[in-house]
Amino acid sequence: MAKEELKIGEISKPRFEFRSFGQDFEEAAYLMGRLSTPVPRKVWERESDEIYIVSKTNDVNNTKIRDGKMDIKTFVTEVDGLEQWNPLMKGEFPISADILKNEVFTAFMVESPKFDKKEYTFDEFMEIINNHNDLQAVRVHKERYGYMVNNTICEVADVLINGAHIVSVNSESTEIEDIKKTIEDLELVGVENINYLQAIKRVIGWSNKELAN
Amino acid sequence: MTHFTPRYEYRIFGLNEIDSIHKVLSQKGKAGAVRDISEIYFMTAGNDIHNIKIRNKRLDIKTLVQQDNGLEQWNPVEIGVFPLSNEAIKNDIFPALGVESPSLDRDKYSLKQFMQELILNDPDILVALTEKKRYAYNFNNCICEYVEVSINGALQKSIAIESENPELVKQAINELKIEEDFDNINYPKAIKRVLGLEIDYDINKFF
Repeated sequence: MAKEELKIGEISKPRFEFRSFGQDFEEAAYLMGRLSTPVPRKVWERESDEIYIVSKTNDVNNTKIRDGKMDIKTFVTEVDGLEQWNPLMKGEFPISADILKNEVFTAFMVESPKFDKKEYTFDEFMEIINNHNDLQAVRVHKERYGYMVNNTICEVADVLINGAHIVSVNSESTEIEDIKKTIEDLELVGVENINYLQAIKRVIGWSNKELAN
Repeated sequence: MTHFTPRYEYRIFGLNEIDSIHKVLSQKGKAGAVRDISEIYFMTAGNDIHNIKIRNKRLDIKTLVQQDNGLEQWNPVEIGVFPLSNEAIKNDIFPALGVESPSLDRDKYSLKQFMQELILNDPDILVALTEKKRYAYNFNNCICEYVEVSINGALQKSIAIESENPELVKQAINELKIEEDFDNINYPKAIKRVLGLEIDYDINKFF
């Protein structure tokens, strides 16, 4: 089967992903810039504010809210240390109680509260989150710089987790071998693959593991 | 236990917005030592007045004595060096955390035993590992510092001004041109914000 030509910023079939977080990825960022093919101007620099909802009992569903829309991805598989995540649901506020109960709280893997209303605004949803002992809303600000190395979509990102700064690098593609080659070329061999959910949990003290550096 | 004279403290946290203040401090102040320090902070949702941390196996608890005109006065008390007695753990540490002490089966706890048996499995206690690079200054007869602090691996910057004389601290704040929109944020509060132990009501303004 012919390789899919990845187009940065566009939808493709589910990608595998390598991502890591720490304080110092200067060398990888330098190499990424040097090795990258030209990328569309719209992905040179992107800035976003997102809210991640983390759950004490869930490591397989990644729930975030961006531009007022809820976006849940679910972990599918891991191959050679690379992770594949698939979109599970997208929803815009107000969200119906049925969807919150059957899709959102199911993804959180926590006990669902009693929903008295038919639908919930963003503010009402956040109140439920703030009152739930096993859930936490985390502010995430991202400044992402996009590249394309070995036909994999790459980025270096300055990320603020509840206002504290970490750096992320990643490479994602439908083709595992292309990501592996990129990890080698960026001198990231041996660096732990850490997804957003895990990085956030480490920073907020829900996991005792450390970031990559 | 050893008691110290409480100082009035003013501390701010941020990232790049701190740099210009640090520049003024480094120009006007007398630079002292630069120190790398690793500390473990113990955080609970209900505790706002005790700063509980371990440095070099020594556990200290600083207690907020008073807030006066935007400044805070903390009283440091050295609980001791590990291994610590179960009395110190039961009577000093857990009451300061504001959570119920578990049953203590040992007479003394090493740091490893304390962490593994009493802290890490307690759902009400969060641990923050901090790595600080502290740049000391003397300015306006105040003890000042600029700090780059990694909280569970995530970076923040901080500037602090301390003195037993609150007027000197206020003068230093003015001299360093620290704007009024910087709140006086102590370490436990800053760490709680990163850990999300304070509900962030401003999160709705995020969009």
